Amino acid sequence: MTGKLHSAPQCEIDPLRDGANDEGAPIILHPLVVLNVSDHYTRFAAIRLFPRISSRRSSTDVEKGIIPFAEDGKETRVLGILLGTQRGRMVEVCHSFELPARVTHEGRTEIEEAFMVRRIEQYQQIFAKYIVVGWYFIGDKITPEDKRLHAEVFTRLNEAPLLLVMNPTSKLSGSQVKLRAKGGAGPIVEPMKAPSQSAGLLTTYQMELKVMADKPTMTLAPVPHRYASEDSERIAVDHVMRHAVPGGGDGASSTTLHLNNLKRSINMLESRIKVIVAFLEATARGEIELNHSLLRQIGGVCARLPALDCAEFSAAFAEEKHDSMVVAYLSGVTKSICSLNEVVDMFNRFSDRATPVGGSRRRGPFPRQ
Amino acid sequence: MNSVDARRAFEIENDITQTTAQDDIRYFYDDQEQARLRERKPWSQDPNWFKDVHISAVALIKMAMHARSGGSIEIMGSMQGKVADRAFIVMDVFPLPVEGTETRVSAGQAASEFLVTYSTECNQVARRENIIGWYHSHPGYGCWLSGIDVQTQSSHQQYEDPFLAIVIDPVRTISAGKVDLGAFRTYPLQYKPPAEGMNEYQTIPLNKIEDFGVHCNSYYPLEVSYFKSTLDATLLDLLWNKYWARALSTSPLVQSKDYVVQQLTDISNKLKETEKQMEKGNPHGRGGYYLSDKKTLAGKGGGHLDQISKDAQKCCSEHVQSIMSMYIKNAMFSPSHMQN
Repeated sequence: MTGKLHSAPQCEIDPLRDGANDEGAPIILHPLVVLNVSDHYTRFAAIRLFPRISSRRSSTDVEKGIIPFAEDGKETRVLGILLGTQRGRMVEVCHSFELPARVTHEGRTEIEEAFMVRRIEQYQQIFAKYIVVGWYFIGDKITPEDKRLHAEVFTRLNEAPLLLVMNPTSKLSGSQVKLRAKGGAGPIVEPMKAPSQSAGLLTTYQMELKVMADKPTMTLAPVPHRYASEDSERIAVDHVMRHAVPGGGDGASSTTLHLNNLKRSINMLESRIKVIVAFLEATARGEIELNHSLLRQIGGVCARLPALDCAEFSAAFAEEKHDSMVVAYLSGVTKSICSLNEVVDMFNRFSDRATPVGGSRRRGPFPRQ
Repeated sequence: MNSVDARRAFEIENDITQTTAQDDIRYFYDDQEQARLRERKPWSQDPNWFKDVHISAVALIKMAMHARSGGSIEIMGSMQGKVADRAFIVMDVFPLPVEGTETRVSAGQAASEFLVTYSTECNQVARRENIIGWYHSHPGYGCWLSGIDVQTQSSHQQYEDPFLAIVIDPVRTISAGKVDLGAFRTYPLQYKPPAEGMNEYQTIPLNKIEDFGVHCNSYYPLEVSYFKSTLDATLLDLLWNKYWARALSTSPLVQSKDYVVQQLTDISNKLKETEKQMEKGNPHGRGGYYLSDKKTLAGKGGGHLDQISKDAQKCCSEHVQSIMSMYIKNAMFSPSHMQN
């Protein structure tokens, strides 16, 4: 008995921990935030991409802050606030919103603070548990100006703000991404061949105290992040991942959808296992040096299998199975009652037509008691 | 390789911004075109003018999450977007601070103020889309408009057209594993819709069925589709690398346990109700007709029993689907239990 229990996992394994480098990373990003930032960028990019239309803008638009987004981010900047929760070192980024920001001639970024304060209040009315955890911007590197903003503006909102930098140009030059950029029309790129890390496209930074030349200085250091999502979020993300193509609806039944999802996940798992096997084989042949920490991790994963091999689980699983069968049975019974009812109905109607109107009108061949 | 393929290959190799531009054009808000459309008002002539709804990725995720965060309480929010020919394009949504109950939600004074401030300030961040509708949730009882919803929607359509209503069911979303969402527009009061077959059948709990039946002819559903930008597509691809394990590690069976029980209770209640009505429909206490007689139930589209059986089948197929994935996972991760 004890031996059985021993093989059960000690604690819940977080499935989204992926790869050694972000094991237990304290920064958790929700897909919504990533897509929200992307949406912010796309809207600005759309204004830039369609100069023919946007050139009709009057100068009053410019005063209102509607300035075409320039490639180097000179006129207006794509930046905003990250909202989420914070517990100790763990930061969970759940939501974001954009800020109006302009760059003056001296290169200073000016943020409309009244707007920022009001918007934060508005969000707290709805999501009472969210606080400001940091900020984001679109760009390819952190400039001294960004450091100033980080220290002067955002440190007032959170004593250790997080910075998320998205660099949409970094990956768009890759040929694989080109194929995908056709909006799903091109061949689907094998996920393993795509850039395995989103580093470069998305980077998170936090303040770090470093001693440089005997002086303590604050620098922005990259910190690893991982992804997590709620169930409804996962389903919605899955949904857009699969169905969001121009003009595409979902015709497939929910069972097909469900099984396909599962199949894709299993394929992914298989491809990962193949990588591990290839690595182990190469190590065994002596082609690569022994990497003890990696081997230890692989050993750890293997030791967890079979995942749940205890009497309690089999009992619970059998019970679950029986429940499902009962549900299926009930549904079958209901269906047969329905069909039977229809048959009785037809018989009654038929005999009704056969018998002339009279006292027996209400009695068919199957009278009810 | 035919000419289309050849052209596509050429485009891929040479000009990516071209395709990007084509795909992302709907992210651009052309206020003059919108103003022209709003002036022409083609929708005021034809009650069935709008046919489609396109929802952006962010909007869908925000709605799904917001609806879920309410639990069994209804939530409500506003949608920003534009119109294009016969379609609504929902670019973004934002939640409203409203006090909902388990059966209704309505916007009070505070919510209206919130809405006005929020949408006015959106101009400052180059969001110039107008409010084009509202969304709210029906936790566990399907996507349709109740009597109050019909009233709200038709008054919006009267004064703020073009306006769209979206209903989302977070409970069914979880149990079915796909977003359960419907988009609706109401007909004008005097308008009689063409008598056509009911749209896709859905389960409606017993205590709501009356509300549904009375109003189901005063609005019509729109075709819903979703879109994403090219950058979204790239990001989602990258995200999937981190994400796949999630589909293996969650079980819809465990999450929607309450809902299954609720569904079964509902089916049994409906059966009882049908039985009662059968007794009633049989004044002589002996012999006679079942209620599923088409004459007594004209306009209901099949008998009560027929509907109940459909509900049961749906519940069963969802359940079997979940247990199926449990089996697959069990086979994968604990092979020693396969002999069961």
